[in-house]
Amino acid sequence: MVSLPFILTAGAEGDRSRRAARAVVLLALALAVVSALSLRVGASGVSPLAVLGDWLTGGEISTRDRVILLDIRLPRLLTGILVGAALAVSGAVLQGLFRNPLADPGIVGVSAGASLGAVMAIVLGGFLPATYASWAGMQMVPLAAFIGSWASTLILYRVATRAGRTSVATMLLAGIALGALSGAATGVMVYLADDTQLRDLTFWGMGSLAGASWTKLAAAAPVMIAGLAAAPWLARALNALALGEAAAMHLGIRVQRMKSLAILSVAASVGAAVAISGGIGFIGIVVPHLLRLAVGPDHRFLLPMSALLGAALLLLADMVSRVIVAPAELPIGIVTALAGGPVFLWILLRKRGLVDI
Amino acid sequence: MLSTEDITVTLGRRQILHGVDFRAEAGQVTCIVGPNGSGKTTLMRAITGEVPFRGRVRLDGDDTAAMAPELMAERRAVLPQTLPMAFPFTVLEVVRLGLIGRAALSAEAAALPHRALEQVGLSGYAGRLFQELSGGEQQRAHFARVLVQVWRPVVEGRPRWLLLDEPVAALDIGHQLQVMRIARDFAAQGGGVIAVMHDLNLTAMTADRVCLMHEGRVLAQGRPETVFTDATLGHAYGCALRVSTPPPDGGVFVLPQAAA
Repeated sequence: MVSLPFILTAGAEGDRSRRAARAVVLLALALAVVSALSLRVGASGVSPLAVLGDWLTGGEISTRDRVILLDIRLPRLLTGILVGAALAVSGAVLQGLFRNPLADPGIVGVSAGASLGAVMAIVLGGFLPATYASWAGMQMVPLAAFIGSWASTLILYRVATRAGRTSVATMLLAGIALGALSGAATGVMVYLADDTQLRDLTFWGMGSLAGASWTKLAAAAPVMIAGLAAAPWLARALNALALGEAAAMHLGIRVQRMKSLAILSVAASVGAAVAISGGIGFIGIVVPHLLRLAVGPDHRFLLPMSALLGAALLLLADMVSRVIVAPAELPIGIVTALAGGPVFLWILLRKRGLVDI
Repeated sequence: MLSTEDITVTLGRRQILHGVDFRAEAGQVTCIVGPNGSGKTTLMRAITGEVPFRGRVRLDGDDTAAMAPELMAERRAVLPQTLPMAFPFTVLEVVRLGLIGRAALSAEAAALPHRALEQVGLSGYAGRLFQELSGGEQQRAHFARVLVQVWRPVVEGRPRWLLLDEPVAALDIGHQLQVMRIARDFAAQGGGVIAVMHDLNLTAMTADRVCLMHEGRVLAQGRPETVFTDATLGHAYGCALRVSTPPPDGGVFVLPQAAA
């Protein structure tokens, strides 16, 4: 843990670790504020503070308020935090692994692979006998999505990286190809789906936190947390990897093991995030990029900060999606794409001279 | 002592090294020289473990193939030829990547990167972005990183090694001499230095021992004045070269001869 004097004193020139430590504290505070707001905002006018006050003073809490707060808004808040953190951290890890700031789970086909896995579990699960079907729906979707995103990441890495070097063009084009293949296979699944499944799939594909529930969270959270938990072990290795695989090895990194761990971590985070919330794009590219501009690329800070900022931004996007067309809801994927698309273009313009695309 | 026994490297269908026996002593600077394509860099990459090879590399008695990467990193640092940098790290952040294992835990950890930057003449550069430096400055910043990694030439009675692949390729003559002087100091304090070199005169000035490569084999190995002769160099490089011994220090000097 960082101590207070460490945070308050100025660092040596070229040393951004103190600035980063301060930013971690600020981001944690921001996330707390946004979380509180997120519990407050909604179609019904329930105020968590008033309910908390009633509860503390022994007052009566209506069943409706209890359901809205504990069974709707709270699981949705936790889902948003986990999904935002998972998407942003896996973006940062992918970018470190490919040594390229343009790698994003949505852009390079990893999310598409996860979607395919999830859709297969949903549709094929429907063919199972009813007793297994509900179990399959709950437990199998995050797992299937994890397998789908793991396979995509692995194929992408094999195709785009040769002798330890990643070609940006090959990575992006392979991502398009993988996305198209997964999309086609997903299409076959959609064709097989019945009407109810079809409606679920369409809404889910646009990305939403609206379906968040304790049951879904219980199935997806362990997978996402497992993916996030790998990050501290990856940070130093990803820093060394910025010099290339050979140089990382000379600095004592077990490169092969580290790459496998990074790919598994990304697959788990993205797989479970997609399974529970559908296609939410651009968090994985926008968040690490902004943080690199602010505090530099040191992964020991970039990864935890990505988790905090990713969670906060996704909660903000979720609030916008709930408020903008209230009482109806805009799918959150549309909000993140509207905000993230232009940022991605801006990054491309800035990088045009530096990266060969 | 760092030695290779019967190293053979085959890349694709081409055999690059044919049973190379190479030897370097701690406390000395050993330079590997030879014409383009003679296998100097491949020999270095076999020593550092970057290319697969048949044969054996021994680092002070230990077979490097059996050593864990983190243990290797404690005993030798490698300066590669070119390194593209993926993200906007500052110069200080790059040099700090060399702080691993013991160095990271030592009391001097905070001061080491600054000391290394000063050694390579980049003391005012700590806060600059690495990507914005010139090629030669980047090379020296990496040299500082490598120096941090093996900051003590001898640890617990065992020498540490600096493996340098063309360390002066992108440098002006002043910085060439500076880098070679640092290498000499490292050897003088008991560490081992192996450098792949192109400049024969800089090699003659710096090296205690030279390994002259030709077509994937060692053509000659030993002190510069015994390896650098008109006949051996002429054979290796396929051109007329005259070796002379100018006063006052008694070193050798290689003079290219115009084609007759």
